[in-house]
Amino acid sequence: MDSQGLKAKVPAFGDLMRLACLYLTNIVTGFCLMALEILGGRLLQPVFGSSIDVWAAIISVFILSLSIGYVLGGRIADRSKSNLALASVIIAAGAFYCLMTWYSIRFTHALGEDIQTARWGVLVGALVLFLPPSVLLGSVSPMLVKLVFTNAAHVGRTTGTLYAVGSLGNVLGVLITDYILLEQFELTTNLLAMGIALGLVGIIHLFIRVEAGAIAAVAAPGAAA
Amino acid sequence: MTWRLLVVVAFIICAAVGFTFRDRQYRLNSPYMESDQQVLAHDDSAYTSMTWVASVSGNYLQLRFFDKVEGGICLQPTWQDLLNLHAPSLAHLLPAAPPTMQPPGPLWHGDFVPNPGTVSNSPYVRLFPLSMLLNNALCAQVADPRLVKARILVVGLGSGAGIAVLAHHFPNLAITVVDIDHKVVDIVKGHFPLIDWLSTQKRDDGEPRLQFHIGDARQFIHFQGEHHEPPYDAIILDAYTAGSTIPPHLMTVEFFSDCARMLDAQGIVLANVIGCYGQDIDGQIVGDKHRVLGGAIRSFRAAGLTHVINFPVLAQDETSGTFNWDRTRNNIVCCSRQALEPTSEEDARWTRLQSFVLFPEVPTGIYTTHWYLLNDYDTHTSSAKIDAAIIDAADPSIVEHLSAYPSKQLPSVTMRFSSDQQVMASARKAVQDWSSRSGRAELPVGWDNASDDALILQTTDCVANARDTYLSSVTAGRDVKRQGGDALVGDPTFTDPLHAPENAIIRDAPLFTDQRPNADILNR
Repeated sequence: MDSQGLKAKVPAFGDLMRLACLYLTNIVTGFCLMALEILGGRLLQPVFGSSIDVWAAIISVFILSLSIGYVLGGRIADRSKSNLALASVIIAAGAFYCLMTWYSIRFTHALGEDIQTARWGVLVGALVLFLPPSVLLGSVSPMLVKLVFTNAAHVGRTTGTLYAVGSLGNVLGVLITDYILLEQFELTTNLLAMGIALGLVGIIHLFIRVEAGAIAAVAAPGAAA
Repeated sequence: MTWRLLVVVAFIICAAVGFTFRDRQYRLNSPYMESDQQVLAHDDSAYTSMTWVASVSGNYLQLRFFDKVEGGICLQPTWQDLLNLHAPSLAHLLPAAPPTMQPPGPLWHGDFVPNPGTVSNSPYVRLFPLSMLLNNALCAQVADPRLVKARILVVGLGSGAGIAVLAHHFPNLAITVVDIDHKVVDIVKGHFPLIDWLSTQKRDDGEPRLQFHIGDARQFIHFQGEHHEPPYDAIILDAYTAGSTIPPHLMTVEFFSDCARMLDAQGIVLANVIGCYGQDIDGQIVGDKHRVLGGAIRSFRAAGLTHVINFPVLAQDETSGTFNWDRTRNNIVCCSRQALEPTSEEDARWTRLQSFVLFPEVPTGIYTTHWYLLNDYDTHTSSAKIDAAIIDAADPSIVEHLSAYPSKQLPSVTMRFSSDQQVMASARKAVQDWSSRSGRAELPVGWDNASDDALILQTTDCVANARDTYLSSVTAGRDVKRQGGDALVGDPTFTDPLHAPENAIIRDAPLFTDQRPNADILNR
C-alpha cells in the first residue's frame, strides 16, 4: 500500500466539510420542497377551497415536477464538473420562493371566475405556482449523486444514503411546517425564510468548490484497493 | 469571481423584492367592502387565516376566514346596551364583574373597542333556537320554552354569533362547542367578551354554561358516544372548511349515526347546509350544491333521523311562496327520530315556532344601517353600495327626491329610490369627491358604472330584520310539501347510493357514506 492509500484512510478536514455541505444541501432542499407542498395548500385555499381536488392538484404537480427535475438534473450533472450548476439551481429556486410572496396570492386572485370555479382550475394554479421551484429542487438530487459518487462498487450505498437523508429532510419539512411554522408565522414569512435559506445554501456552493469525484477517497476509504 | 457576486446580488434583489411586496392574506382595502371597516385582530393557524373585521356603518363585527365571512354580530346593541335595558329576562347575561379583554391588534385605529351583544348579523344563526323549539318533550317540561334546561353540542364555533343567539334566549343551556382549531377559539374568546365571559359561568346545577373542546368532531362524537355520556338534547352541525365546504367525514351516514347515538330520543340535530333544491331544466336538476343538500338529508334519514324538515334561509326579497329554487343559500336542516311535520293548523309545535320573538327585550328603530345603492331598475341588481352618510353629507337634498321602490322586501328593510339623472350624477360626484379626499387608491366599486338607472336608499333595522328573517324561514319550513324530507329526497328506505326516488324534488341526491363520501365533486 502506497502513501496515497494510507492518506485516504485519514479523511482530510476539508473533504469532510465538503461532504457535510452536500448532505446539508440535501436536507435543506428536501425540507423546503415538501414545506412548499404544505404551504401550497394554504396558498391555494383562499381561492380554490380546501377540497380533495386541491390536494390532488398539488400532489400531482409536485410529482410531475420531480420527474422533470430528475431528467434535467441528471443531464446537467453529467455535463458539469463541479458544484457550480448545483449552486445556480438552488439559488434560482430560492429566488422563486422569495418572489412567490409577491406573486402567488395575487396570481390566484387574478384568475378569472371561470377558472377559479372550474374543477381543473386548481391544476392551473398549482402548475404555475409550484412547477418552476419544484422542478429546480427536483434536479438537485441527481446532481448531488454525481458529486458524492465514488465508484461503481459503492453506487448503491452512496445513492441510498443520499435518498435517505433527502427523504428525512422531506419528513421534517412536512411535520415542522404543519405543527410549528403555519401556526407561528405568516405564510409569506415562511416562504421568504425558506427562500433565503435556499439562497444561502446556494451561495455556499458558489464559493466552496466541490469537484465531481474529488471526495471519492473520503467517502469510500479503501476504494483504491 | 465577478459573475458569482452578480448571482449573489441578483438573489439579494429577489429576496428584497419578495420582502417589500409580500402579500397579506387579507386585504381590507377591497373596494367591495364597507368603506369604514377595520381590522380588530388577525391570526393564522394551521387550518385558516382569521380576521375580526368591524364596520360601524355596517353595524357588524365579522370573523372572516381567508376574508370570507364566517359569521357576524351586530356591533350595536352592545353587551352594555343590553344590560342597560334592565330587562328581568336578560338577568342571565349580567356579569358580576366586566371581563378584561385582549387589546385590539396593531391594525385597529378605532376610538372604541367592540363589545358586541347578541344580535346576529348573519341570518342563518338566528334559526339556532329551532333546535330547542322543535322539541315537544323538552318544551312540555316548562311554562315558557325559553326556560328549557338542555345540553347542546355545537360542532364548529365560527364567530360565536350562534352561541350568542342561543345564550340570549335560553338561560338554562349547557353548551359544548367542538372545534378543530384552538386558534379560532382563542380569537373568539379574545375579542368577543360575551363569549369569553359565558365560558366562565356555571348553571345552577354546576354544569358549565359554555365549554370548549379542541379536536376533530368525528373523533369527539365517536369516543364520547362510546363512553355513554348523558345524551345531548340537540346537536348543531356548523363545521365548514375554507371554501365553504363541509368536511366530507362530517357528512356521512356513519357520522350521523354517531350523532344520533349521542342524541336524546326526542332530540334534534340541526345542520347548516349550504345548497339549493335546483331547477329541473330539460330533465337535469340544475343549481349549485343541490346534491350536497339532498345528499345530507338522505344521509340523515338513513342514519335513523328519519323526520327531516328544511328551513331555507330566505333572502330579503323572497317569501315562502316565491323563493328561488336554484339560489344557493344557507339551509337549516332539522332532523329527529320523532315526527316534526305539522299535524294540523293548530299544531302546538308550529304555533310555538311562529310566536317565538327573537331578541324580545331589544327595541326596534334604534339599531339601523343606511346604504345608498346603484341599481339596474329592471333586474333589481345592485352594482354599488356606500354608507348613506357620505352622500347625505355632500348633498342633503338627495333624500328629498326619493320615492318608494317597487321591489318586495321584508318589512324591516325600506327602500326608496330616484331615477333622476341629476340626482344620480350628484350622488356619484359625492362619492368621487369623498374617495379622492380620503386618499383612496380606487373609487368604491360600481360608482363609475353608467348603466345603472336607479339610486336607492336602503335602510335596515337590524333587530326587526332578525325577527323578519327568522319568521320568513319558519313560515317556509311549515310547507312540508316542499321542505319535508319525503318531498325533497323521497322514501327514506330507498337505498340506491346515487339517486333518490324519481318523484323527489332533489331526485339526483346521493347517499354519503364513509365508503362513498361527498368527494367535493358535488360542491360546484
